[in-house]
Amino acid sequence: MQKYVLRRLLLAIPTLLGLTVMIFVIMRVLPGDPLIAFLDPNQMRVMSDEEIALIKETLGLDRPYIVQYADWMGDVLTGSFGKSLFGTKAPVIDVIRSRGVVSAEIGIIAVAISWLIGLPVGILSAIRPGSVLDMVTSFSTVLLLAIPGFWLALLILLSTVTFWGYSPPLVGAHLWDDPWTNFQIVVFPAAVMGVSMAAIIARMARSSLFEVLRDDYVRTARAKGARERVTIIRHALPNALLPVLTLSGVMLGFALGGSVAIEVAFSTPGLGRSLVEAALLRDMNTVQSLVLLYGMIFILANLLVDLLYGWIDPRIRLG
Amino acid sequence: MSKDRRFYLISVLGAALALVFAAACGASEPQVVEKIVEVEKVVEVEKVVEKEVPVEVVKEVEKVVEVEKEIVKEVREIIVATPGPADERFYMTILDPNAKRGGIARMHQHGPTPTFDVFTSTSNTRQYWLSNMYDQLLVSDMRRPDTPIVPDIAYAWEVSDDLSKYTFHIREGVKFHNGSDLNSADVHASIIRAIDPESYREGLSSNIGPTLVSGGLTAAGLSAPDEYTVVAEIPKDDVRGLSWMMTGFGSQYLKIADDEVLKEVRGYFGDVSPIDGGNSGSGPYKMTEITDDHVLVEAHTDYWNPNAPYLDGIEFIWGKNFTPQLTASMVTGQIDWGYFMNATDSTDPNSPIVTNPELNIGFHVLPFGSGTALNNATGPVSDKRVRKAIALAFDQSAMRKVVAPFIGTEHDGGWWPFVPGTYGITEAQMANEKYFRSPTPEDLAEAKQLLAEAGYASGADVPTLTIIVQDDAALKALTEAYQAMLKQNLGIDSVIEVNEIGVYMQRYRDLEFDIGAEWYIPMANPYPEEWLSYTYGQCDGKPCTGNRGASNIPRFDELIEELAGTTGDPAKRMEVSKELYDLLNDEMPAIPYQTGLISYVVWWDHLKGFQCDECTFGGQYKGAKWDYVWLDR
Repeated sequence: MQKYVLRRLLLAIPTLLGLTVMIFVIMRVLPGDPLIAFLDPNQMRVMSDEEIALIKETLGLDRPYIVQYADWMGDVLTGSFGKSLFGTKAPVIDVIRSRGVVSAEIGIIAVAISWLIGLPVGILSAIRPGSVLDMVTSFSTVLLLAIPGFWLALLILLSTVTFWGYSPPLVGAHLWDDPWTNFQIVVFPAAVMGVSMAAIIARMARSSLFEVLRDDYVRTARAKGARERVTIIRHALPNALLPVLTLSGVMLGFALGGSVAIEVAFSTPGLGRSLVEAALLRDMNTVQSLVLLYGMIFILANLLVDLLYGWIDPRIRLG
Repeated sequence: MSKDRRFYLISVLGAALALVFAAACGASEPQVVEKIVEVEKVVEVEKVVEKEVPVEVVKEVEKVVEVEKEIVKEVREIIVATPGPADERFYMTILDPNAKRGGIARMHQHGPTPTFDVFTSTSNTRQYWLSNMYDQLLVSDMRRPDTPIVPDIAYAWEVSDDLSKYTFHIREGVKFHNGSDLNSADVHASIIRAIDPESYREGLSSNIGPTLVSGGLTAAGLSAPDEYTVVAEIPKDDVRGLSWMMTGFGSQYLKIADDEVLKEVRGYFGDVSPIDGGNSGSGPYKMTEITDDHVLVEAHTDYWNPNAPYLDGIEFIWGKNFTPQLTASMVTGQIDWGYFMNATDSTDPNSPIVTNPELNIGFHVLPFGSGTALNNATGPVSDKRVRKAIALAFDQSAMRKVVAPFIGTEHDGGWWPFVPGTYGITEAQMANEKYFRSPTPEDLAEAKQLLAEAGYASGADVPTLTIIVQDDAALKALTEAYQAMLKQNLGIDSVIEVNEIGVYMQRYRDLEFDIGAEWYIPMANPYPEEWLSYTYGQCDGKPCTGNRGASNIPRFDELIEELAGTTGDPAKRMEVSKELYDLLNDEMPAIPYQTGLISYVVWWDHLKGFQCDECTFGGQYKGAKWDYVWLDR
């Protein structure tokens, strides 16, 4: 097992290196120069060539690409992830620390909600195919899949403002500093993400369990007189959960990185919003480092899922 | 996995999630009570009618229409009203005798900001809050309807009879946030930074510099004869007038910074942390905290005005202008003051802002105009006959209506400065201006004739035009109107290309467009030649930085020079203006369609003191040092 984990982690290195090169190049070949509008968000004035050259020198963007890349990689290795190009020019790790926690909370709660809602719904649909319950849940899940998260978020925001005069706090608070404010910040984005993900989980759980319930070993269990609940929970469900688990790993990766649209809709101070703000400013260091972080999260989430495979299904042996 | 282990795992997971949901449900309980309160507010229909915004709009428009007439008078009155050299120092005091001290006011700010440098931040979006950290030489009192210039760091001043020498007396005992004392060397250095950016580093200009420079002030003419006196001398031949210079010296963009620090940072504060005096300001508030979400400034305990500030601090919360999120945070009391509010939310009688009796709505007519950019240098639109045909075919009234739900506008358009007493041409006057009215059949016939003269027998022969726009709802709607009018009135096909702001601005620089959705023209300076030149003229042999369409009209630049020399001769000024007007009509470098975007500001009743009852919010634009604002929470 340890060898397996080590090998996977070593294999992640070239993947991440490739990612760094890719995002570094993309940020520099994209058309447009945000510095043109740097001084004036209303675009009443554009910077002259001389001014742009001066700002580029200040930001270190006039150096050869290889130097810039090496510099950034050095910062990544030291754990600072480089400095933001704009504003206070704070290390990107500070952004990750302050906003990553909020996004992580939202992601974990969202995945939990998705399991809590999606799994029972999927199971009930699978064991009673064609029933009214199945049709209602199928309709509901398709509806939830079709509704864009940001639209649902705006609808919730509009409702809470209109009917309760309430909107989530705008300024971030850590769980350990101000749990109540923190809860108010994360609960709505987590609920919206969780409900959307629940629909996916429910669909996947239904189809997966539906197939497994027709397998020979399930029929054998039933023939041996096992109770239906035992048959489903002990024999069918663990196997049916494998694709659900894979999907959850991917969704966890997305969720931990922060849902851009939902965070923007709720003005949530999370990583997704940071990425949007950095991308709009073309804050290269921040965008590069956040994308690298997302890459790491995805790799770790997938590794975790693979390890869980072996734990849930004894037939799978890692190493 | 064993049965017990799995059962245990599922049970714990289920219990944890049940707790989360229980907490979520519990959290919403108190809000139900708030709902009842909200319903009671909505029932007060009479109050809603009293606050109806359109009534205020009409009233204010009447005032603003007279701006250009009034400005010269106004500045002269200010000079007369100035305390002059006196033993008794002028201090800004709060107007309300019942004012309270303390508390943190929460303001919306568009952000996060890419730079904390106050000198190069040309937009009021940034100036607004950065102003709280700085003092100025002179400042406008925004609580009076006429927003007079009153002393700030300069407690008094004299002006020579021939208007060529300005002597400013600087306050003693003023301390920067970094602890050092402010004296004439700092004022001198700050003005030099504004008028001669080259003296610090090769490049970044400042916003106010051009006004003072074109008023005749040079680095050589500025001196600091003693520790608390600054003298600005202008060659007699270059004198442009008192109001011109006072506009510069009293501008919100002329901040005073520490001479030593200015040298250290080479005139650019974008690379230093503004925390705890790093920004080198001496204003009523000192920046103490910056996060991704907000900036906190706290009262400057060594502030020179013994009466101010009243607040313990101000929290600037980053958000996005014009968005529903901004409306939501305003309505729910998360911010006390919001600027650049969504126009519909601020005017719709049923909106939660308008129906809330504790929320006040003001508006500010932004002193800049909007136009449709035309590529004067390349492509089919570089032919002025095509440009004029497009102007004839565009329905300007419709264009203003398209953007109105997003950001309100005044009803002016045209080549702004040439109708006496106005910034622009009113709707009624516009009916006589063929290029700025809803097209008549004659106008369309003339447009088609112009196209024919340009070699296009019909609109279908014109190559497909590229209309560029940034990702902005109002502007995207506007470009759709452009497209429809081109097709419907002239038969010209066009494509709309939406770009993010960096690409959008790059395309202007590279002239990769035929028609540009938006062209902002700053008009804060009361002298139109300043912004006309910037917008349509040539600077050092190439298009000025505001000249997006790259127009190159030699006679225009000559006339601007002539106009600049007519400040004391109204008759000559009008004569030159008329020639300019005809020239612009003939060249049609762009299609200006409105002036004075209306920006709505909303604040809670408990935020007091920043304007008098009779004042319009417009005065706020001239600076935003909230040393006299207080909270009655």
